[in-house]
Amino acid sequence: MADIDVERAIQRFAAAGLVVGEQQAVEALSVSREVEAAQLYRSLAITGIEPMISFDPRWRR
Amino acid sequence: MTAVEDIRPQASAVTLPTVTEALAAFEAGTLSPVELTEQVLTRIDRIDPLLESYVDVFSDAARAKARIVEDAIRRGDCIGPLQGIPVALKDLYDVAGLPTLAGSPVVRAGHCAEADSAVVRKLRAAGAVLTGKTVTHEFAFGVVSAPTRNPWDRDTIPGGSSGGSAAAVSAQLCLAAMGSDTGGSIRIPAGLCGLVGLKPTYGRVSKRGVAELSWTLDHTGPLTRTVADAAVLLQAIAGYDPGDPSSVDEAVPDYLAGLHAGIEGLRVGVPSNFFFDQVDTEVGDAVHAALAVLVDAGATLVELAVPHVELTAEVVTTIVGVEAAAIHQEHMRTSPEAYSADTRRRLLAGELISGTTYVNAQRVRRLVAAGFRAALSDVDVLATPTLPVTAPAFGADTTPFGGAEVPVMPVLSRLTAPANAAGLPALALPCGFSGRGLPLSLQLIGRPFDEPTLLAAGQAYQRRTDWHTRQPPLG
Repeated sequence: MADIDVERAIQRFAAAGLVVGEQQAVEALSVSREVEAAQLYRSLAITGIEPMISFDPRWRR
Repeated sequence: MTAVEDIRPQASAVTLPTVTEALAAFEAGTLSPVELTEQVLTRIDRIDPLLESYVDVFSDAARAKARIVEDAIRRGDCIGPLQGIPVALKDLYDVAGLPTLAGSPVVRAGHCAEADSAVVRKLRAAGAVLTGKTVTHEFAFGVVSAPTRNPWDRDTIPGGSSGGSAAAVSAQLCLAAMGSDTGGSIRIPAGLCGLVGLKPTYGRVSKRGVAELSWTLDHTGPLTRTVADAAVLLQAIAGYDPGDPSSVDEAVPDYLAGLHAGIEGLRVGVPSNFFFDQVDTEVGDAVHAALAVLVDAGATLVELAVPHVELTAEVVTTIVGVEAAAIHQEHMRTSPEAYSADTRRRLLAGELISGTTYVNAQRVRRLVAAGFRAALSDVDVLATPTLPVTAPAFGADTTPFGGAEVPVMPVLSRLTAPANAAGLPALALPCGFSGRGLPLSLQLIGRPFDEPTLLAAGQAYQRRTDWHTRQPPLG
């Protein structure tokens, strides 16, 4: 679930240029795992770890 | 008698060679590329109405290429390491002048690829005969691949997202096929259809010209009937591509050189956490029997833990959700109705993930990768089940797992997605059948760019077993 209400979700979609009605917003919120994911990541010791956005699989052998 | 029933006895009457067998037969002069291509095209005509694995068959182009290869062989020339081999392409791979529909004829209506994808270019240069495009789950964002059926039981799914490729190889409607793998989309259908599926190291095989789902998780690789065939395919398609930002400039070894060297002294890690939790009894038994075969071949088993691997599902869900939403945002603005309701819902859910959550997922991903690095510090490969269950029923949204009915996708990708998060090479290979006659699969995971060790281990296993020689009951 996302930690925002339907109206704010529609506003966020609109900011991305997406025209989304109330029913579709409700459905998107129902499958969102934003809250669960954010809570999980917050509970982990990741201070000092940089993101893996520029992903390189090598282990600096 | 219906038309479909009429073709069944003929459908199972012919057995086609594997890639390596066909290459040897060409060299010996006992089979020609034209003969083989005709056999494949005939089988597609007869069998594919049962399976619906192809979206487009390149009959004329395949015949023309087979004749070119055959003429070259008659002159004593060698076009390349895949000369005359019929290979199918998941319909994410661009072929110049043709549409890449990516499982979405509506969203991709009017698309026409301007150039071959890098892999297609390499396959052509290697002499492959391209047989056509195969079904993918819509934008590779799922594991069902409808309408394709599993050749082992047409009331079950072939898996996905490379389900058409898997069904086509399994039913011998080509000798090999290309797939893509974001959370298991090569290995899942390989496992459900009794095939070998290889997801190479991230950056090993170019993704240029392949429709994306997730930039940092997508991989490309082959599906074949044998490990040796996978080695031949990988040799032809591996290599640095400056046109692919994710490609890695790492030397390509000879994947065939050590294939038959055996695995005496190989250290095989068997995870004590996560990978064997909640797997079906038949799956667990088959994988443990496969481990015993590896021991007979000279390997040593080492029980170990893979730290942080349980975080994978959330990490991959976050990353794929955000990256897929970004990739599809423009189309979602202009034609959201062209997507299926399920895909549209998941793309919108990706839009709602915050920037910090995405970045934190990429940070947690480092924990997952570090966990694998620690686990692989003392062993050469890890051995796990590829899938916790056998093929789910066609049309079902859920499948039994851990005593409950659970959505199909998280169940099927549970044991494959970790190698995507870590970018590690992973090989799925058949290791038995369930009581219902459905394929079971072993997964081997290796160190970065150590595909040779994975392939040698897989080859040693297949030399001692015959699961890969079984054929689906298409009669």
